[in-house]
Amino acid sequence: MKTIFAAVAALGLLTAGAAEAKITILTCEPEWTALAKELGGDRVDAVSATTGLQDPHQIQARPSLIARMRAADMVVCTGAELEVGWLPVLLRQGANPRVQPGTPGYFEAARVVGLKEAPQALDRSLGDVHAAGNPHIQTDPRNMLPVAAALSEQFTRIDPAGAETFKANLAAFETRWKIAIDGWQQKAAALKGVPVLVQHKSWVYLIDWLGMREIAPLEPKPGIAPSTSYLAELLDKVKAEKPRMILVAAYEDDRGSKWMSEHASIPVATLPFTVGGSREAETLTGLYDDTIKKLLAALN
Amino acid sequence: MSVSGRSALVALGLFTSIPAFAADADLAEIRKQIDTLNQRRLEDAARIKDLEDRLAKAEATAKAATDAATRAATTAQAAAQAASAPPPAPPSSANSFNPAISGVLDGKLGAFSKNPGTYALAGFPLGGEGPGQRGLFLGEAELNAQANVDDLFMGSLTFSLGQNGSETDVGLEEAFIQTLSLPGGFQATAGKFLSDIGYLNSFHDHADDFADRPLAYRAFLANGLKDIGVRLTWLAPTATYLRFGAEVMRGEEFPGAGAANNGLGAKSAYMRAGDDIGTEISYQTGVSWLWTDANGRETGSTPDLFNGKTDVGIAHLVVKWAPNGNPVNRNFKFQAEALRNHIDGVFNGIHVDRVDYGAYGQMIYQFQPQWRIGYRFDWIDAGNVPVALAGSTLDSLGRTATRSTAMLEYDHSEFSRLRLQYSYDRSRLFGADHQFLLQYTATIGAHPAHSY
Repeated sequence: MKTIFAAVAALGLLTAGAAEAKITILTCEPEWTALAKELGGDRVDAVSATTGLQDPHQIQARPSLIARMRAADMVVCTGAELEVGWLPVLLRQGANPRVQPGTPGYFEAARVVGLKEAPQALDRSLGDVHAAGNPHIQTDPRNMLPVAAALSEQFTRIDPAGAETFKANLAAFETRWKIAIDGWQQKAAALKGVPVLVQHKSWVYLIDWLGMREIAPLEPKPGIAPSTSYLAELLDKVKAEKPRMILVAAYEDDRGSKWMSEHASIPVATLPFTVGGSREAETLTGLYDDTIKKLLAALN
Repeated sequence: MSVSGRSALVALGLFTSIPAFAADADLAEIRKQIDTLNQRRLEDAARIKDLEDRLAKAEATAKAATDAATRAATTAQAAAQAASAPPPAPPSSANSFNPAISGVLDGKLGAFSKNPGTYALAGFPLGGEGPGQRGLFLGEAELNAQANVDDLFMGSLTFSLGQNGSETDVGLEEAFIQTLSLPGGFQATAGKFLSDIGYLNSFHDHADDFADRPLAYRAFLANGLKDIGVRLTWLAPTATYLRFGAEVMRGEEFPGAGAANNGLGAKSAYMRAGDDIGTEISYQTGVSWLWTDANGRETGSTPDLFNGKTDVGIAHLVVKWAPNGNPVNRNFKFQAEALRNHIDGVFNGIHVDRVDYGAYGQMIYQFQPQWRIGYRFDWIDAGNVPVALAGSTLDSLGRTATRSTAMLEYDHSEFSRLRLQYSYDRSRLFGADHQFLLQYTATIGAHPAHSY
């Protein structure tokens, strides 16, 4: 028994210092993997804990994720309680001091973005509300700018040797990104003022960015699936406002939106929500290209 | 301006109307009038001054108002900018470091064809509870508080509160500290905790997929081992999840008792491994072993006395599937554990050395959001007893205990659950028992985080 422990301890110490070459990053959502690769280039090795087809609220703390947490130099997540059901378990079971909250290895994107919809009251009868505000910041590309700046700075803290690279990558990204945002806004001009229904309150940042108007979510409370009778009631209420489409994330159960689509005779816009949420949204740019393309298609 | 102009005109008019031949009396009258006029001019001047002052004041007020408006606009702009800037740090107060507190509420309704009060598991002394109660009863309510102690430790405290007849039982479920930042994948835990052996053992009851524990857990571990002790685990730096752990415990709890070996009466060692297979399937498997010493262990109402060693070996496998790896809408879970129980000691004065086997397998399918169904099969085979112990609690009379359980569950949200469960139970010495349980479980307070 003693010798086994000694051997195990020795092995642990040996491996602890290794693998400093690249920053190994575990992101909670694929959009941060894409952003980390843009900013870090060859100096980072980023993998996402989730795919674009998985609900980031409810991920299981799978053994493979614990192993990845163990190996990570850095964890990049949305924060604002989006991952509250699984990230704490990974952090605890991953037994990795480099990525605990408060260390340079822990990064929450929502901290550098002003969050919308911070609830006035915290009560679960209001559904699964997030105390800090709506965490789905990646649906507005403008939010990528402050996150990119903060993330780049954090990279430098972990890998000072790469400071120049990170700086150059950030500058290039910012220039390209601002032009891209202008392009998207021009393309999406027709969406201004368009009234929409949403499945979950996932789209507040997108809707704000493009000047659309959210009439109501299909969920009676955040995180609670709508019943048919609730949907019928909702349809009566929103008829007068003439919603033009229903916004749904690729990973969401589509029965509620299908019902509403049939009964209100409006299309469902199944949007990628994040990188990997659709075949076209394989990159960060592709995410917004495809989102706007799908919105415009639903409008016509 | 207009006021002073008019008084000037009036004065001019008066002067021009004075006749050149005016008498002295007239002169006096004129002087008087001039005095009056002068007086009026003074008054006018004062009035003018007053008006001018008021005008200046009004202008100043207007300017102030404009300034204020400008300032307000600037503030609004700043506020708008602030709104898109990161939120300010929360104000510090005495309770801002309060731990995350959560509670679990659990209530049940039981219906049994055989009186659960007379329950006995064929061939085994029971260290814990039986199948439940008839009618309405309360499961264990739990209260948990946890927080980081400092940069090195986190701490967790869990009380269980149970209602036993008219008495309230307060139990210490867990009270431990755990390291946060040991290097090299090591983690140490000290205090009272749920042992990490097997799969189900490290979960609290309310996290289970059925309203009661498997028979093998009931027989060998009194539904689950928790004890005072220390644990050291090591997570290997491999792409595949691989964790080794060892525990030394006081040995106060079933199957141990009496804190044998000077308060080091139980030990365990375990290994767990797991990974993904593609994006849709994940698994965890493991092997654990527990060694305990019992020092004067009493079980049952006419107590059976046991002194000796028990060791329990457990192998487990859990496989989960979800379309696209997204369990929210549909998912499937298979879980099985096989246990080997070895006792070597003196039972009611007679030496006994035997091996028992137990196992269960269960499947849970969430067929749409909020709805889950499940099936579990239980099996235990008790070893032989010495002739001198024939007819004792250890004698199963050749009976192999089995149980089939089906359940239907409605999860309204992540925080509330309603479950209906039926068991066809053949774990008593004779006959079969139909067992119905209707159960609610609710979580309040801090958002729960679930282990795999």
